[in-house]
Amino acid sequence: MTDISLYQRIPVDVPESPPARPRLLLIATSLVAAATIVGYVGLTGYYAQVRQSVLATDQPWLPSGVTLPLTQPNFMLLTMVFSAVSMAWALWAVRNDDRANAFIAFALTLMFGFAQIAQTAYLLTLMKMPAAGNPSAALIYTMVGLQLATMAMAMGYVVAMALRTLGGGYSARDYEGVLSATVFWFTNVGVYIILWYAVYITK
Amino acid sequence: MALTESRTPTEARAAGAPETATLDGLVGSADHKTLGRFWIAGGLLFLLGSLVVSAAAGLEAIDLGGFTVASDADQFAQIWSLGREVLLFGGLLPILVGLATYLAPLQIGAPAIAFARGAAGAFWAWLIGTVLLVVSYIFNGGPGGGRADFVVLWTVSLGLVILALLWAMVIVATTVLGARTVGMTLDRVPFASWSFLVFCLYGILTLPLVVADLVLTYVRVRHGFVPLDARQSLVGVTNLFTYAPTLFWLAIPALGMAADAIGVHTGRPVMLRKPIMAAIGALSVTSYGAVYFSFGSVRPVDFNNFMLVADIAATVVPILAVLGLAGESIRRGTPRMNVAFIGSMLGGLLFLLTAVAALLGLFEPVQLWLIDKADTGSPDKLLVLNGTAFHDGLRGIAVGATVVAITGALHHWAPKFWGRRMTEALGFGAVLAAAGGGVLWGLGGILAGVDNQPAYPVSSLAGGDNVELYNLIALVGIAAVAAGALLTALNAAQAAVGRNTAAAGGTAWSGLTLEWATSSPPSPGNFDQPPVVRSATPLADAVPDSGSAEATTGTDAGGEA
Repeated sequence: MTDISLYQRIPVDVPESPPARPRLLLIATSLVAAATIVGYVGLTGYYAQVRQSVLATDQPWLPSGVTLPLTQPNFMLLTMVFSAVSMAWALWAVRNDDRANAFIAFALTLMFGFAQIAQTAYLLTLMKMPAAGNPSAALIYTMVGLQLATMAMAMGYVVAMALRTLGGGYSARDYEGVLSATVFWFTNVGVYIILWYAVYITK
Repeated sequence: MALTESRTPTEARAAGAPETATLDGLVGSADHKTLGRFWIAGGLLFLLGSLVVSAAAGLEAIDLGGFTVASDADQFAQIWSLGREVLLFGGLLPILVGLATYLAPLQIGAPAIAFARGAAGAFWAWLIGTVLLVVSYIFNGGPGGGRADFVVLWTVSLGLVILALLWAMVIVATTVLGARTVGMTLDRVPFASWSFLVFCLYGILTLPLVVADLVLTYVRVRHGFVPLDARQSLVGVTNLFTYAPTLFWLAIPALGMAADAIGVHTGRPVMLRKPIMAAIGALSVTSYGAVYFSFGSVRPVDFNNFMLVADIAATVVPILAVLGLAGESIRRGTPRMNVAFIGSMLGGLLFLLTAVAALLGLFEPVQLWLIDKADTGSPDKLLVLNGTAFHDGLRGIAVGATVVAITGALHHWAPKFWGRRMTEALGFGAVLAAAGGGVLWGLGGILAGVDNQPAYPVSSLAGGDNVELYNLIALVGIAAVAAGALLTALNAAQAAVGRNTAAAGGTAWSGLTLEWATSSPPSPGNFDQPPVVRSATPLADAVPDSGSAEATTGTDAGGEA
């Protein structure tokens, strides 16, 4: 039999809930995302400029002996697209108070993130590009390194928001943090797409 | 409270006693007022240091025969670069960020800054980064540095400094965009806060380019792509911020603060608000110079570019518009001839002078005339000013303008910062020294550029017959700006420690924006009640029996000492 005394103890005159916080986290995340894109797009422009100037002298852009296979970059792209779907799934689940689905989606997103990092590491070993001795190496390593740094930040953000959701901080009533993490994750996916096209595809 | 959290208004007001009562409270404070003071104090100290270093580089340039202060060209490059980088990233920008951190929440009626712990983290990261930056130079790092490890440290520390400033700007912009009180629509935001928002958004869309360039530089230096004899070229990483039009980024907050101060000190609030706000916004567009610059260590700045000259020409318009529209208050009102008013006006006028000088210097017929007058150039020296000390001259005027504007702003808001006014006599001295110094610094640099002196730093100092004289003029200018900054720092310190007897009892001006609706300095939580705003001048709307907090003013609202 249900103990109704618990319900009876709930006060009738519950104070009005405080007004929703302004979306500070979402605004700040959007600004950081904009900054990330500005920095990365600027660097990509410089990469394209230097590459063009090297090719104009009939010199190869990648040093001899360096291979840049397409399999890993394409799989990474697929991984990133999947991660975007799983992140959107996590947001959807939190908005619907579906905690079980939310945690599965968070875990999947993080797993995809780790997979992308692992694939990048594997690709770099396949490329066997010396860090010194060629002008393209510094640029390629910088672009790849900054993409990995963005990924690390995005993963940290997702972990923080997942933990906060686990602690009851986010739910259907307030899911701003998860939405913000999603915005940054999508930015991270966008950064990889730039890298994928500018470095891996155009070679 | 995590980095990603902000206090609700209730939490902030319930915070109780000030966090700054003890040393650990002071160091661990996340109160935007404490942090704003920290930024300003730290910025003033580094500004002074950087001006002294810049003066040392200037001293070297008055004798082209050899090296006296520095041992060789590389060391000269290091001294010059240290002065230039710390001046901007350790001095001027942190002071402006400090003013924004302190004032923006008050002006928009917020009880706290967004992400208060994050704001504290930004300050301490900047401080550590700036100290490491100086250390890297001391141990033979930086552009022209002989020790690779400390050149690497230079890239890391400069990156940290810029990231910290970037994060602080994200926080200020977020506060203005998302933490405004009830009724405070964006078009009712005071000019200063509006300009802080524009200034921060500009930084958010520009500074990441330098961060990315620094990462690239780190990789290059770390893996030996930049040989020892090519390290001078690394100075170009921060070129973006020291050439027109990006130089006018500093004018954005200066003009916004000036518009607020002019309205108060003429007794006539500025009426044409939206055109002024539009002009401040337009200035951020015309001065956005990132598109003209390239990454990489060696970046020739091509000023032989019609769009660039058009951009700089367009920059004159918003500066003139803000000054002209704010000047309408001068015509209708009765200006008080105090430092806050004069500093605000003079800062804006000096930025106008910088813009006009930049435009004239880059305008082909004027260049031909200048070169002809200086009798140093042949037709193939057309656009010779592009690679000369001319741009150091422009930077000199802009630095003087910013120091003057900061002095005016500190005098205007000193009652808010410290509960006391700053001494007028010291303030007048500071404004005169900084303004005169800026003009001399600019004049010396511009004339030296016309006389064919290459842009700093150079492997061998060179130029026409009169270059040493022009460099001496510039050196006197740097020293005068340093004196102005020193006077401002001393004046602010006096007000901060409460020894400014001349100002005892002085509290607030008769301002009509929200920061004047609370005590000076404000209590924790800033306002007793959440203010409700119905216009851009909420204190003029205050109705005693309205029952809302817009009438809840502190001890000094509307009062005039």
